[in-house]
Amino acid sequence: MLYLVTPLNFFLDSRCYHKRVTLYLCNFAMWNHCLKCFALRNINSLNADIQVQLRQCLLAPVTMVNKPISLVIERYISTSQHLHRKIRLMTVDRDNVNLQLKKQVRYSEDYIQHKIDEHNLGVRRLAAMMGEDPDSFTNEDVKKAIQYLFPSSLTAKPARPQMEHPSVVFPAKIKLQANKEGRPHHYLFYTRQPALYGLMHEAYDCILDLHSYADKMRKMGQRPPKPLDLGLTHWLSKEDIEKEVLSSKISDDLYNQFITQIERLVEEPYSEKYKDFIMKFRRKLVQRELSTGTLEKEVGKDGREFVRCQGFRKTARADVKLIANGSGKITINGKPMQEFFNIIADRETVVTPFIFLGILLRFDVEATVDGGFQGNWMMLHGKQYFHDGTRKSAMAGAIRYGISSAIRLFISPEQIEIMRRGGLIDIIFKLVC
Amino acid sequence: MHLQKRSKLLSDCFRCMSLMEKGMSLRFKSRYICLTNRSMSDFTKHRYENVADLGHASYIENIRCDESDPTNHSMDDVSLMYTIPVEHYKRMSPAKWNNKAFSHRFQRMCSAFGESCLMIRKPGLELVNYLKHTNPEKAVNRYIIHGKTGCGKSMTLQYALHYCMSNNWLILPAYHFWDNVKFNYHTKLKRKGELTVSQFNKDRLDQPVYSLKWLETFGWLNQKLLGEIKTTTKYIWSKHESSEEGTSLSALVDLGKARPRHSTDVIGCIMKEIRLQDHTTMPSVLVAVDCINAAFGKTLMKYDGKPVTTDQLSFMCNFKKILSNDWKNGAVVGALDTLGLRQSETTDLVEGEHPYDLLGREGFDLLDPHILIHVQPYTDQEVLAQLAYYKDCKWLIDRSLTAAGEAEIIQLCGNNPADITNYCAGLY
Repeated sequence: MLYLVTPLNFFLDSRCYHKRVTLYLCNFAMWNHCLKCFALRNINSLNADIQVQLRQCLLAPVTMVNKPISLVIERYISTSQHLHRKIRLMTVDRDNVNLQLKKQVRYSEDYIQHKIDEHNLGVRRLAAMMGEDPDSFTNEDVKKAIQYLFPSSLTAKPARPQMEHPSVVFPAKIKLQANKEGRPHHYLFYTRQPALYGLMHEAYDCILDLHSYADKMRKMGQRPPKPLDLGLTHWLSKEDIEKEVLSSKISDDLYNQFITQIERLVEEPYSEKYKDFIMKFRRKLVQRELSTGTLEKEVGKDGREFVRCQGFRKTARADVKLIANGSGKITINGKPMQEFFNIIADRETVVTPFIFLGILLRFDVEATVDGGFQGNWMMLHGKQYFHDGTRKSAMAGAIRYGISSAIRLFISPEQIEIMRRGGLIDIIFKLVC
Repeated sequence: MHLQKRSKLLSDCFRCMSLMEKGMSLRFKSRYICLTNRSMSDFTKHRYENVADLGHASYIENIRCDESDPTNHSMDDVSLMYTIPVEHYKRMSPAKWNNKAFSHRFQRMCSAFGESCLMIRKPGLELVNYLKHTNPEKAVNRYIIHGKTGCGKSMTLQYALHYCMSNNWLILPAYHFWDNVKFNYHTKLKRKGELTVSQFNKDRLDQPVYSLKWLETFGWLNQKLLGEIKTTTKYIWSKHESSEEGTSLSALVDLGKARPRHSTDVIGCIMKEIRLQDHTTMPSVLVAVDCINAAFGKTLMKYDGKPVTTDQLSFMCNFKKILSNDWKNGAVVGALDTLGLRQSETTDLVEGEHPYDLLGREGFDLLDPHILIHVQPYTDQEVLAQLAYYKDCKWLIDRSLTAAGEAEIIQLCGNNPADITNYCAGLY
């Protein structure tokens, strides 16, 4: 997007050619500032009429908009020397400066509502044309219909015929952020995230309030209460904050700053007073449905419950049987785990679900495993010098998956969510042999 | 003064803004943003503290046994650790060279702890009880220690050896017998001097390098006893050298060290003397062999392009005569081993690795009749005693002593002693 042009050469070039250059610049303040300075410096090389216009544009206050400011420089230079050189178009998108006002005036709400009704009607007509039910005509069906009716081989997709909802075509209204004179409303406008920093200042005000409250209680002789219990919730992620609280994106550092500030609030005594403010930024751990089919508990001869499950990793397949009220014995293909797996890393993979939840030496496991590098197929068809009982990590992963999917029936749904975030349940099935 | 304060405030303010924009570390940012007069300690409250309960191992009180002499140990002392005295430990495993009595890992741990401790276990007490009741007037008994890898076969052998040393027995050591059966040097140029044709019998082969080391360990183990034992016949080594009747074994050992050409023959003479003499002139003899199944398998050596069998080696021939029960006044203890076997031989083993599969036909015929001593993995009590000992030595701290950490160690390693030592060596 950035065309790096040497501005001095551009204006002092006296060769004859037609040229049209557009400088699409980023929205950093530095670039805009540089643009202004550069234009002001080289303004003397331009026509007198355009000089006046430029000065009026550039010296006006520019608001910090999150859009590219485009400098369209056009100059036509004729081939012959004696013809008058015209620098015809040296315009700054003045529209961009007061674009908010323009937009607000341009598209009224009635206008947009009218367009929405038209769109809905048009969709129903399309459905009737294609011979389908207009009530159940989705957005994807609309796209397919238009591709069928108006086929185009243009490479630029925005140039193809489209039929979209007006809320996409007419973007949402941007609130006025500044006066006519250019003075912004928000007191933190010149920090680039006024909403975020505003919340942080709000949190600090709450902290100061709690300090004075705590001093009062201390004088009266009361002890501070227990710290705030936030329960099984977690902080909003960066993406959630960008969507809901703010309208723009933020960096990781800022996000961490924001959360440390509110954690600071949480640490204060008597912070239950501002619990509503804090819980705006906390979400409960969501429970989702079991996605790998139905599992049932069965009762064995001893009276102990057990669950059967299958697990897989790469080309290894395992049948796992998890028994409750056990003492931590794990048998694989008839052998104990310590004999089957020579490497300790494989044993650890099998045991990670238990360690993750803090449940060790409570369940028994019986498993049968085959496949992978040390499976029966490779032993028959593969080379013989690598079969020393060490390359069994696929088998270990298969058993781990079986255990973690079978143990869900003995566990609360919040712990299941914790396991999912640990990466024990939703695995990516890779066929790598 | 006012100007200085004001300028400081202003500079601080500007520094704040510049830091935020430049992207300084989070710690400094949080300090400026909170704008408090609080100290740094408030930010370090999230230090990790072990709130979890301690495990069973940290509540055990009886860890060590006060007696350092295995003759006085009894079944009440099972699962306790006793220290080997420094003098005895130096004789068993000297620091000058690594005779592979103990494993390398055990030696390093002993140097770290500053002491060498062994656990008193049931098979060790069983062996020592048998050795206490040996009848010097009757033929020699053979004891074979077998079990899974890492369960403690070599350690029970060393326990019996310590008993015999403290009771002034003569000891014939053969540690890591696999070294006898393969070359010491991996380069071909140096291997040439390892096998030579023996002068006593031209069909056999000598091993001067191995027998030198053997004589050093033998002499270092039995320092003072060798001076009292005398030979009964005359031995002629060459035209000019001979040793007459009544020479002490220590002189023979010195001769063997000085003349590597005759060192294997010296060993043969020592073994012959042991077989001939009675309990009147000689103390009881213990033949301690680690990895005894090396004597009944294949060698990894070649001479003149042909593979060498164990019958061709003179050391082995003499040694197998002592493993038999033709003589009196002593005991033979042997421990089996599977880790030294080559992979081509392990695949031929039956599942379970029964001791008779490791010995083979030849070994069984030679060592029959014998007494089997089975070394089993740790019991639950012994596991906790091991972990309590590590806590006492400060080998394990903090997190691995909690209930969760203990459960993890036990679940991963099972009751295998070697796995526990190897795993705990990497923990804190």
